[in-house]
This record gives sequence, structure tokens and C-alpha cells, in this order.
Amino acid sequence: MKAFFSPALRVASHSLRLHLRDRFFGLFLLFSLLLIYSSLLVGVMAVYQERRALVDFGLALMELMGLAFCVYASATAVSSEVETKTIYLVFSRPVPRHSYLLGKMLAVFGAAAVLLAATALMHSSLLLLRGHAPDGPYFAALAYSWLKLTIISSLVFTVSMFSTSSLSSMVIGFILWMLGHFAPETVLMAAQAAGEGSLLELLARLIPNFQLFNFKDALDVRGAAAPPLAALPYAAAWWTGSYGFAWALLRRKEF
Amino acid sequence: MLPPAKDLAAGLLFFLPALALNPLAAPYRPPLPPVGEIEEVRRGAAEDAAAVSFGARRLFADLWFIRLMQYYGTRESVHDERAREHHAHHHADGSVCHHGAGWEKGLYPEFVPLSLHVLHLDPYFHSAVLYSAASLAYNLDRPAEARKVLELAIERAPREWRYHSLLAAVGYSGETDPAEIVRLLLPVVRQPDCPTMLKNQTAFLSKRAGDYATAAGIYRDIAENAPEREYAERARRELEKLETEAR
Amino acid sequence: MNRAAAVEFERTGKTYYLPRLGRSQPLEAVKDVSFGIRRGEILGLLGLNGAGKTTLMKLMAGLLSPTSGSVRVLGSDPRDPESRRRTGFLPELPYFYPRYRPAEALAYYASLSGMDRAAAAPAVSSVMEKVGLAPHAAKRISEFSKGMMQRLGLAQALVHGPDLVILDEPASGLDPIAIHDMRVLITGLREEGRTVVLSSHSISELEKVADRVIMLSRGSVVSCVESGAWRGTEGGLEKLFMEAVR
Repeated sequence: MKAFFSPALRVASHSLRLHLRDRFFGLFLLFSLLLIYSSLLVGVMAVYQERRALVDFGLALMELMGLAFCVYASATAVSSEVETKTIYLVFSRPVPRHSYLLGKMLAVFGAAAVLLAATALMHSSLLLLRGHAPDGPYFAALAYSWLKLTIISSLVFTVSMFSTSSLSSMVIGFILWMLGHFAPETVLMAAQAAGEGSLLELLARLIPNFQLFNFKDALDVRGAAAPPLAALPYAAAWWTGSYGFAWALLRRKEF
Repeated sequence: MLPPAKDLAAGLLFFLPALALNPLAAPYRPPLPPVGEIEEVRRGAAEDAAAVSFGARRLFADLWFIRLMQYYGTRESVHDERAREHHAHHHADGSVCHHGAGWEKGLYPEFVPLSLHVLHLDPYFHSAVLYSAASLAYNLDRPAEARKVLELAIERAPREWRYHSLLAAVGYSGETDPAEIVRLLLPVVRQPDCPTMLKNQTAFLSKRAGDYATAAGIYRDIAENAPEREYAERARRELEKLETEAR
Repeated sequence: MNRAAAVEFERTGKTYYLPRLGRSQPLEAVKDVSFGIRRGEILGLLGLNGAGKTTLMKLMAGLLSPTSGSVRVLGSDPRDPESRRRTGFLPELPYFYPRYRPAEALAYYASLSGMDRAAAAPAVSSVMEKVGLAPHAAKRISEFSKGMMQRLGLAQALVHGPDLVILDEPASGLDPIAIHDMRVLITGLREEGRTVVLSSHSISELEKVADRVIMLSRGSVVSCVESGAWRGTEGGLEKLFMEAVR
């Protein structure tokens, strides 16, 4: 167990530091700060719905910034080490590839959490400045957003193992994100379609259902997202699948 | 180069738990109308697609509500023949006045499609639904369309009691008993997210019903809490009138 | 297996499969190579571009698997964790995260080699002294010159005290003084009892440090020469190399 987790945690700790020191991380934070405070205008225009507008804008923005960062970080996590040949310095050491992969994935998950926490701090300060307080559903929405981001990160990570470029991995990541939000619609269309229904049904089975985690889109609605006891195992299943597939592709890869 | 087939196959096995859970998640439907029922307004299909793709229907509902409020808060064009025909209060320059006897009146032909657009995206956006229906019923004198909006809202969100209350009130608006309308609307008006315009209308109906105490309470709430300056000023004037009459 | 051998190649071959449209094209980088590396010696690999030097080094470092034959490093498969723990590898033109300081980078690689924090800290200080980076400890890696980067590369290969050190073009891009310093470091490793394998395009450099040189051409060993042979030959190692590869 120690032989598995110890190198993974070392890789994770190092990679997390790299992510947090990456200039793109800083740019994403700065951009988030500017957009969050510019949402004041939206709040003013919404008149007596200021709180709702500020909360919705902020949550959507934080998730989008998180998405952009996670897709970028996951797509380049391993490929950047291959391009700079630092991967030789790692794999010439007694670091099992499955531990390396786990460490890299955990680092992206951790960086996403830091980014969300930092932007949530900025956004909460704005809400408090305007006399509104963030509440339980607000923080629950953030937690569910983080789960969504970890799923998409793990999938992009896997795609990066066999794609020809980081850019194509990122594009595939964005497409999967959008398809995942259409999952319930795909299931509905599959039920209604005749001949093409089986294809749609297959597609619906192959993509993660992000609507399960879309708590921010129905903050006032009971049963808007899957309860935590269902959401967590679902997310874990996708993490495991992505990790296992990535490992299967990496274990014999030569550099 | 693709990895060996046996590695690909081994990798796919890891996805089995996730793929097995997906059908179990399939019956889960978010409590929002299906995408196919969102009717395009002002060539906004791309925005609707973006709203769904990024899981941001609530945000886009907010933006379209702002758009609705701006639409309704903007003078109608003097080039609109129908607008000129229907307005009783005109200025010498031919423009339509919104700040006098004809305030908030007008044709606003896109009002209902814009309202429904918000509703299709987020039927739980109480304020937007109440604002739309109340404006249609009490300002624009279009109770049939107000009922259409509310009935659709109830179909989408059947447990939202505010919609039922306002629908009943709109139903009564053709009758001569304003007190009954006020009774139906008071619980809605006491909610913090109730549109100011509906509060204002309820206060007016309370006065008509002779219930000055209730009217004063609502006007006081508007004067103290309404973000719209005009409504707040009007409420203060009404309060002064009521206090003068009470003396 | 020869017990005195640090590394043994036994009829080793390595074929790469280059992706082409609809098929893959095989490229035989190493063909039927057999030789051993004695413990404590400095072995040079000499050959033209594409001769197979880097491939042999990667096979020793456990980064590649042979397509045929076998490779043994310190008595084990080079992909075994224990073998890797006792091996240090310097790739050609190493890269490090620019915003790190050298000690941070070395501490990371030391930890990956299995050293805990208590053991790594003195090892990092010691290796930085050894390679001459101690005066530059406060600098970020982005401020390093090429020579300093090579020294850092060598330091990461040595920080965990390996028995076998594999250096791919260690003098690449260095100025004469830096080359001299690198040479002193490499000969110092032999005095410590470590086995060193290095590749170079520079025949004169190999002449000065190596105990033995293996000459490669198109993936095959064409000659194996002890230091005494080129020292006793007019024209030295260069003459012997030109005769071997033509």
C-alpha cells in the first residue's frame, strides 16, 4: 500500500505546486476576479433580483474558469513532461507508473479545489459587500461543481494518453463537457426515437451525466441534483474508469 | 500510434462500473423543462444551446429576465403603428408617455414570448413569472395572456403555490370584489422576492377594497425596501395621502 | 552472468515502430548487441547520429524494453524498482521547472528515488557542493546557464548515491571550462567506485576519461577498444573510430 501511495503523494505534491505556480493559474485567477467584480453591473440591472443574479453569475463563472483550467491542466499534465523529457527523470527512478498517474490526477483535482476556493472567496466578499450572505446551497453547489470538474479532468487525462496533441485533448474535453450536460436529453430522445434510438442510447451510456451534479442550476428546487450518497460513487466510478484506462495505455508506453 | 489491442481492452474494463451506473442514472431528470420545449426568441438558439451545454440555464434565465425588464422599461417605438393607435396619452412630438396616466401601458408585442422564454429555461424563477403575469394582468390589461403564462408555469412547477395564488387572483380580476383578490395575493406579496409591481398593484386593490391598513402596510414595505426609486417615491406619496385621510 | 559486470547485454535488439499511414514502419535501432560493462569502469559509447547510443542507454535505464535478447543491470532487470534505485540517468539536455531553485528540484527527485526528507536534505547539499552549484543555490533555475543546467542534471543523477551512472552527452553545449569541470566530476565518480556509462560525439573527451570505448554503427557494435589501444596508436581513438565505421 505504502509502495503505491507514497510515490503517488510525492508526485501529487510536486505537481500541485507546479500547477499553483503556473502563470496560467494566475491568469485564470486574475480573470475570475475581474469578471466576478464586473458582475456587479448584472446585479444592478437585475434590480430586486440582485442576489440571485450575483449568485448565478458567480457560480457559473467559477465553474467555467475551473473547467478551462482543469481541461488545460489535465491535457498537459503528462504531455508536458514528455515534451521536456522530465519524464525520463521520473521513470528512470523506482516510481511505478500507476503511482505516477494517480499523483498527476490528484494534483489536478487539488488545483481545481484551490481555484474554486479562491474564486469563491472573492465572490463571497462581493456578495457580502452588497449585503447578501452565501448560504448552504451556495457551498453545496460549489462542491458539486468540483465533482464535475474532477470527472472531466480524469476523462481529459485519459484522452491525453492517446491523443496526438494537447489541443485536441482540450477540444475533446470541452465536447465531453457539453455532451455530459445533454445526457438526460439524449436519454429522452433515445426513448422517443425509432431506429436511431439504439445509437442514442449507446451514446447516453458512454458519457457521464453532468446534470446529476448541476446543483447550481436549481438552487431553489428540491431534488435538483443527485444526493451526495449517489453522486460520490458515480463520480468515483468515472475517476476509476479514467484512471484504469490511462494506466492501461501508459504501462507499456515507451518514451 | 494506437496502443496494443489488449491494452485498450484491459483499459475499457475499468470503465465498466461507470458504464453500469449510467443506466441507473438515466431515469434521473433535472426538474427543468426538456430542451426541445425551449422556444427560440429573437434568433437566440445559440444562447439557448450555450445555456444547456454549460449547465447554466438559471444564469441565462436571469439574463433574459433582465432583457424582459429592459424591454418593458423602454419606450415603444413611435414608428410602431399599433402603439400609436392604442395609447391615450400622447405628447406633442408624437412620442408615447410612460410616466403619466399611461405609465407601463403599451403594446409590447414581444412581452409574452420573452416571458415564456424565461419560464422555459427556469420555471422556478418565481419573481420572473409573477412579474410577467402581474404586468400582463394589471398593467397591460391582458389577463388571458397572464393566465397562459401562469398555467404553463404551474404545469412546469406544480408545487409553486405563488403561481396558483396569482392565477386565482387574475381569475377574480374580472369580478367586482377586489377584497378577494387581495386575500389571494397577500401571501405572495409577503415573500421577499415578490416583484414590487405586484406589491404596488395589491396595495392599490386594498385601497379599492377599503382596507387602508393593509394598503399602508404594503406601501410602507415598498417605500423601505423597493430598489426601484420610482415605486418607492410613489409609495411614500401614497402613504402621506393615507395618513392625511386617516387624520 | 559475469558477477563483475554492472551491465550485460545478451543478443539485445530494439526495434521501433514508426507510425505511417495505415501501417507501422519498423526501425531497427539496436541489432544483436552483446557486451558487458565492468563494475567501476568508465565506458564510452561512440558513434554517429542514429548509431543506437541513446537507445542502449535507455535500455539500461529501464525506459525501454528490448525487442529481443536481454539486458541485466546490477544483476536485475533494469525495470525492477531495486535496479532503478541504484541507477542514475542524465538525459541529453535535461530540463527542470524554471521557477524552482536547484535544491527544490533535487529534493523532489531524491524523494522519488525513495529517500525520506531526513536523508534527502544532506544528500542534496552534498551533491550541490560536489557539482559546484552551492554558490548558486539561491538562484532560480530560469537564471541558470547551460553549464549550470548540465551540472544540475548530473546532480539529480547522483543525489541518491547510485552504483551505476548513465550520462547521455554530458558535455553537450558546454564551453571548454565547463567540459573540463565535467570531466573532473566523471573521473571522480570512478574513484568513488561507481560505474559510469557515457556517450559523446566528442572523441577527444572520451579519450580523456574512458577506460574503454564501444563503437557503434547502425545499431551494431563494430568495435570495442581499451584505453591502452588508442593511447598506443598514432591518430588515437579517432583513427580507430574512422577505421571501424568505414
